[in-house]
Amino acid sequence: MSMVYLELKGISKSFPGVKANDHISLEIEKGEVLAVVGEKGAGKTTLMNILSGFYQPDEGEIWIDGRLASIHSPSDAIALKIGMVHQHFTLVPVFTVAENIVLGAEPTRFKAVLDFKGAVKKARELSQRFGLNVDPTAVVESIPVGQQQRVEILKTLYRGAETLILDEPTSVLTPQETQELFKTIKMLSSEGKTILFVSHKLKEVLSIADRIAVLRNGKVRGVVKVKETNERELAKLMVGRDVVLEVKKSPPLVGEVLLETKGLKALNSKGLLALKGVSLQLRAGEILGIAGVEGNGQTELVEALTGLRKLEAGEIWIKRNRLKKYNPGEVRQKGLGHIPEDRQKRGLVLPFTVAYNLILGRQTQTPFSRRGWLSFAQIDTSAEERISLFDIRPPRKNVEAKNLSGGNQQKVILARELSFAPPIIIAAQPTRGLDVGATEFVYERLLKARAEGTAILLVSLDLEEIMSLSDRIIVLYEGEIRGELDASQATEEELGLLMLGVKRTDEVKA
Amino acid sequence: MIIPRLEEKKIDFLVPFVAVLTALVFGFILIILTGGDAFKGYQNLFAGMGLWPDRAQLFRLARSLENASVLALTGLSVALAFRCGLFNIGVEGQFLVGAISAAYFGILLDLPSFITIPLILVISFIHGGLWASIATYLKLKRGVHEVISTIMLNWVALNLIENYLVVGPLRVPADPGVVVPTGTHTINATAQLWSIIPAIGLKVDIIIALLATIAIYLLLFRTSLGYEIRAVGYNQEASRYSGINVDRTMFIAMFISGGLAAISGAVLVMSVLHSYPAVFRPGYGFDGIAMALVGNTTPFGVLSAGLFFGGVRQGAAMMQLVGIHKSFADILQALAVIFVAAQGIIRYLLIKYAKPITATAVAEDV
Repeated sequence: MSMVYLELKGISKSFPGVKANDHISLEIEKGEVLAVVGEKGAGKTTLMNILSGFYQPDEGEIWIDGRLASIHSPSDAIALKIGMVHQHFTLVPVFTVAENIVLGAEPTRFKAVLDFKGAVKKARELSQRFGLNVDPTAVVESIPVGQQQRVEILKTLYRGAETLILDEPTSVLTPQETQELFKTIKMLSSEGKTILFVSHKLKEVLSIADRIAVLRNGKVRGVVKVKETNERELAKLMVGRDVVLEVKKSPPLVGEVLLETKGLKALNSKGLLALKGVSLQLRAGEILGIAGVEGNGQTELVEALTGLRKLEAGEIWIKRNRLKKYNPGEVRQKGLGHIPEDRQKRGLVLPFTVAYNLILGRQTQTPFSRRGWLSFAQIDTSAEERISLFDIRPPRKNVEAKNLSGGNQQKVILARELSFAPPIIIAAQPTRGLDVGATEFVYERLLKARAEGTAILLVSLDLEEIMSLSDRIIVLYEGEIRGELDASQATEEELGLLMLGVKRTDEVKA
Repeated sequence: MIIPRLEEKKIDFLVPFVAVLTALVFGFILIILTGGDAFKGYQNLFAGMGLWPDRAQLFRLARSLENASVLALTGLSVALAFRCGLFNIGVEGQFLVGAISAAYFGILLDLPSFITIPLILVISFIHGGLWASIATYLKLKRGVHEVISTIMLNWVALNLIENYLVVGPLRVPADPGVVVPTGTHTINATAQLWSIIPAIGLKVDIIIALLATIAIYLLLFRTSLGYEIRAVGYNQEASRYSGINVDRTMFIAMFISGGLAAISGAVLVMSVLHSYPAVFRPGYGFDGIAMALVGNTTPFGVLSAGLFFGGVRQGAAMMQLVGIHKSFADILQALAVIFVAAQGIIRYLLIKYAKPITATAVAEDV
């Protein structure tokens, strides 16, 4: 069993100005799940791109199954039975599942005519053999993300992959889909496939991997067995210092009600009632967590509160004034800051510079503009201040936002939304896709705002995040409030049951 | 691909120049392939542009600038709408609206020149803006894509003007029995653009184009409205999230775009034509798309593109002397657009060959 299948010896790769991989050596056994973890920029993706033939290493050797392998292109990698599942899928959205699976090595008749039936048959065989349930005739764009990922995996298996590289595979998945994926990985490894699981989520790798290799600044900082390690040790290896994983919270100094909703009803984008009368109160100095399985009205609630979604019924009160006009500009004027769920799509104008993004929404207000003319001196000084205050890297105001890492993009949004001290903050999944360091930073800033008396509504799918940050927790289930709990007394089981719509608070207490 | 930011900016700037140069090279080869004298042809091209020292140089330069003004204005129109994420394909129609408006008010108004000319420009601007607003209204209220509606409005404008106004209410009464279409009356002398150098017929149209360029530059890059226009153009969703009134911003951008197109038409009438001709299908509106593309949708880029292709149009006329058809101007323009559209290749080559010199790359995505 303990046979080394894949071996990396002293792999180095430099890019101008950065040593992305610095003499990396790893041994991976057949049928093993090795997790490669590290912060953004630690060199994980570069290493995987070397293995799959997208980059050539400057130094070092790759041995596969006892033979020296030379991988000069992705097709070499395929020939060596290495398959990569990219973080961002490489599927053709309008093709069917079967067509996508065989793409690049299509079965043909008479060497020229595409054999669609054969493709469907092969796809069905594969999905049955590996227990990966997908309908081969479904069009890819119409199936959920979790299934699209299965198609990616099937694609590599179709090409005969023995080694599978999964690059941040859970970043696009819901918790349920993640569980499904883990089942798949376990099954594949029991079939003797060797799996490289790239991630920065420690909880995940602890539950799926056999061993974990930690990268930092392009070097291997340690390879540990899952059974002999814990989250704290891994985080320390990853970041290079002790990380506060447990959130230290001062007792809340709760003030007056700043935001109140009464019987909020709203439709979702399919025109169905997604909010069925939500009434809640948010007070100064507290964090109210909204928990729930994805798609139970969280998105609609956030959009209704921020003026993006039309209300069917109900009222929103900000500081004892009823909102009359529901549009994002109006709500913002009244003192509501918003950290949107999708930072690239909704939080930033990516081709704009950091300085420009930092004034988005305030471009017509003093001091950033005067009588319609932008005041560049003010925009620049304010940008410089906030860049250093929020530790945005690189610390340059004229970098386009698209060139920042995800964590730094989120910092720009935080800097914009928090630095004007709005009395109310709506934070929707503020740490989605961020690494440990950046997540820590976001928590720190939100708690600081809380201590300063800001009322924060935190919507998150990450139960742990909700539990550690919130003072009170509300569980949404099918557009209704299923229960409200005191965060200090709530347990994961209790919340889980509420999220599944099982019990009400009073029954739990009784 | 790791490209440092500054270099990226430099490449943005270089692409149109390389595209135009490549177009000139391909044009050259094309002439040779069709059996023409490419050297003579290009000599005549540059002479026709007014870039060759000979007796008629200044006169030709003035004609080039005349063309340039009209092209730059329609180019600015397309570019501004594009910056807001709108494809204004209706510049041609808005141009015609501006032209007929200038012709009408040029006949009607008989005030001192310093009132008439600015007044007509303002009136045409508003007419063009209103005409373009039909498309904005349909887009915002009815969800009709502006590409479809503006193209359709081009035909509406053309037929409304050519088949109704010019042959109907605005028609010059011809002698009995004569059925030749005549176009409108000539505009009053007070409505004709001022000359800068009367001897070569250089008028203020190029100054109008220059002022418009500066105005659009200031609008886009110095005002909060311009910020909003660009924010909406880059990312509508984030703009809406931040509280920008997206509908209002689009409406304004489209209005100004239509206005610029109309001013272009008005300038042509007030400077060169002095009336609205019976048959008038200049295609300047569509050329505007080419100017915007080659100019990389930056105001001064568009003006430069206008200057160059305005010259090429004039130069191509002189190429006929050596037996090259004057449609060579369109060929050159089309080639330049193709190479701008295929700028991936140009970028690749620029990076490949410029890299050893400026290897101060910063890795941004490892």
